Amino acid sequence: MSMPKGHKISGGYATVAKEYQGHDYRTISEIMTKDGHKMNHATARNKFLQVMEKFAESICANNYAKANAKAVARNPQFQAGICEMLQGIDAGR
Amino acid sequence: MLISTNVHPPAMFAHHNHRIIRGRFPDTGAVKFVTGLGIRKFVSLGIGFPGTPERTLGKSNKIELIHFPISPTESQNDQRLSDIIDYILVKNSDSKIYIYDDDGFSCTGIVCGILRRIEGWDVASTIEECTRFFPGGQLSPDAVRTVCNFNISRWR
Repeated sequence: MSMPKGHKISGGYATVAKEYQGHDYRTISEIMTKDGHKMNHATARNKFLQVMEKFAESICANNYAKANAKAVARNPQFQAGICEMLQGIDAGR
Repeated sequence: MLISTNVHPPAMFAHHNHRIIRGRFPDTGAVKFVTGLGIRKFVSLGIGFPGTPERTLGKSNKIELIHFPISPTESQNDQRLSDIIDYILVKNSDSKIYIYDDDGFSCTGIVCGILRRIEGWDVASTIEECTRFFPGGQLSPDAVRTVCNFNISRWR
């Protein structure tokens, strides 16, 4: 029996998109470990998705449609949108 | 009940400031995202008359939809631009607003450029930001002229 292929996210990962100057999960985990928060790449991904889920829950609760916040949080397009918002706030706009 | 997973930002989505978001004509998933940010006022700058989809979205999501058609390729009518700026800065000074047009950069770029100048940005920085949204970084000469020459003294 062949190995399972796994789940491929359509659209790729927002964290590594060049336009947002992001890092892959392995680099994020190395930076966090260097800063004293020991973690591996899987934990970095889980933490990232947990935060995205919080945004997704809030956004889904705020509009009138029922939506699956977990699935919304995994959408790279959604993640890119949140990134754009955070960069705008960070830049003081 | 159908649980949707389709909540995503509109194309050309960008954060102008804490109150104003800009982008392209939103599809259903994008409307959910934008309304999820607490935005209920949509300003359409497209040149066409608002069609059925926009009206339907407006009704179904308790959105206030205002249509201010401007042309990205012609010199702008100052009165029309003044009406738009008044609507955004004076009549709805406390509301969150989503500004959009058909492509998300031409008409939206002109209005956001003027808003930046009112915020105190110099012309060079304003044009630089407008250019970032244009495909290939080519801002139309009419758009540059409008953003640079529009009289903003009323709102400063």
